[in-house]
Amino acid sequence: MNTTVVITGLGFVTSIGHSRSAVSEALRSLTHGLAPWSAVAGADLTTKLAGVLRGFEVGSANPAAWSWPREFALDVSVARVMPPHGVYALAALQQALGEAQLPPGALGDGATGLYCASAGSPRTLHQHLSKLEASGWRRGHPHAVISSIAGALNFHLGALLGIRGASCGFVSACSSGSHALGFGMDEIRLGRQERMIVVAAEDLNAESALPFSGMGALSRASDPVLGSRPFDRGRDGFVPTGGAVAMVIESEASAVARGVRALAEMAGWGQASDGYHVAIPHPDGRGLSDAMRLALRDAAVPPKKIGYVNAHATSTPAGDRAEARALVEIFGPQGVPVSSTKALTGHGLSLAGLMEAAFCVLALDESFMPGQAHLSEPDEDSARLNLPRKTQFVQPGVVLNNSTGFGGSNVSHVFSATNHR
Amino acid sequence: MNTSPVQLPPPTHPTSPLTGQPILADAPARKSPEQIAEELLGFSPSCVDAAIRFYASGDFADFCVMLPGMIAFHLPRGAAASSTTLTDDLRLKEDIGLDSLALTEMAFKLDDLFGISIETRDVFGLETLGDLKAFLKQRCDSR
Repeated sequence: MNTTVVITGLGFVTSIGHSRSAVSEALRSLTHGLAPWSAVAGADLTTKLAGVLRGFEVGSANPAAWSWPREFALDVSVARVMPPHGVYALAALQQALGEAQLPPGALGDGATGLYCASAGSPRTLHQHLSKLEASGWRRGHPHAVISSIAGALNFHLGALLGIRGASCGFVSACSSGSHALGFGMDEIRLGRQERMIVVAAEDLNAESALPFSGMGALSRASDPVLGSRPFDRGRDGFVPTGGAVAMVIESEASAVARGVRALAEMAGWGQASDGYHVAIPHPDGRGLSDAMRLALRDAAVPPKKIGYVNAHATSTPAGDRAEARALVEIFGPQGVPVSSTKALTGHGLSLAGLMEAAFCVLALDESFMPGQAHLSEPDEDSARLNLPRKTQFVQPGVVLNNSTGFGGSNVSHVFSATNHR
Repeated sequence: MNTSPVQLPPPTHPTSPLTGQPILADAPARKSPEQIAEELLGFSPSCVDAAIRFYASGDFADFCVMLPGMIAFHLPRGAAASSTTLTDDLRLKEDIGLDSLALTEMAFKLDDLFGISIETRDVFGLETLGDLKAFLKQRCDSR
């Protein structure tokens, strides 16, 4: 377990940009990617905002009508058999493999694995089941299963990339992307793989987002600044988003041998569960504080060495409150600088953990700490946190990333700057 | 011993487990050329034109004009190029590159477009393009 794991490639299709430079600029300037959104044309819905994926038109039931920004040279014959989030993933992969200098033909060496996170595509499943039902349950589309269920992402990408090493999908709701990255790190530390490609992606459409409205989890705001405001007393739920993030992690020895620059080191991770409720976090965030302790122990880093925390806080009262209490338990009141970048992006569900891990890598590689956007008045628990409103242009050194998901599943990662050991 | 006759419920349509509503097999409405063209978005123009003609005429010669474009669209990525002339002796999988998934997807499309009922397992035994054409002609004739 002494293998040092480094990050060598990142790719983004997010509401705040579809490139490393665009995402970095948005995080520095605290420019959000939220916009008015109508999940169902013409319907008067209470969900009025989303973190939209500009330039990607993947809403049609006929994938042949889909389009994407010109800079992504995606193969139509591949994209048309994937769910909408598969198209985002292809674009993110293109960037990450490019930055890591891994030509697609080099991935079938058996030393490269693929871990993915996605909830599948409820929309694609809905379309196929509707058609199957209309036929009297006699005639289903041959791609109905492989293009829609949770796992569709790793099925397609594994075959497309020619992966001969490990491949698997992770499903732990909003912790999924973080689980994929954590277990990917372990594959390398255990000596099973030299490198792992980790991809997390989610659709953004009525079927992926609106079911959360039934739980009262979605914001009803129409003003982006008021819609996603983690830790704020006036928050009323999360703003949905989709997209994809791809990350290449590998042993330091592999990166050195290939002559590829390490963007940051992945120092450790931990997971723990609330053991409390299927959807509501433990009021004191006990599983999350345990996950943070385990991640710090794994990284052999004391809490005082952490320079920045990217919080999971989605802008729901129960979740933000639990995380604030857990953070105070680990770091003390007014301790480490904390922000939730979901104020800018919206909440990407299975995508969120990996997206925010990638933001942490950017922060370490470029020496900044994103501030807490859209925060006007913290509630009594959040007021005990150190929540800088503006981005600070300093090297955080070592950072921690939090994720929590349904069932009280909690994951924390620790990353460090490459020159900060 | 109870000898009263068993009371059977009145016959009903099967109901959907999703909606609870009866599943009614209504006759499909006629498609306009524009609808066919929309369903064939991404297919070659010659394929679309021939499909529209076949839908109106039922002439298998039009179907054969349409078929190469139909095959080209469904070829998996990296399969053999379809630009070569497709002759009836070519093997569907080895020479043309249509794997079983692609073949069933194409069969699904033909059913969707033209109501040509094709059992998935029936296409698996077809070896050459000539076999496929003969099979499809038989299915077209039996509509």
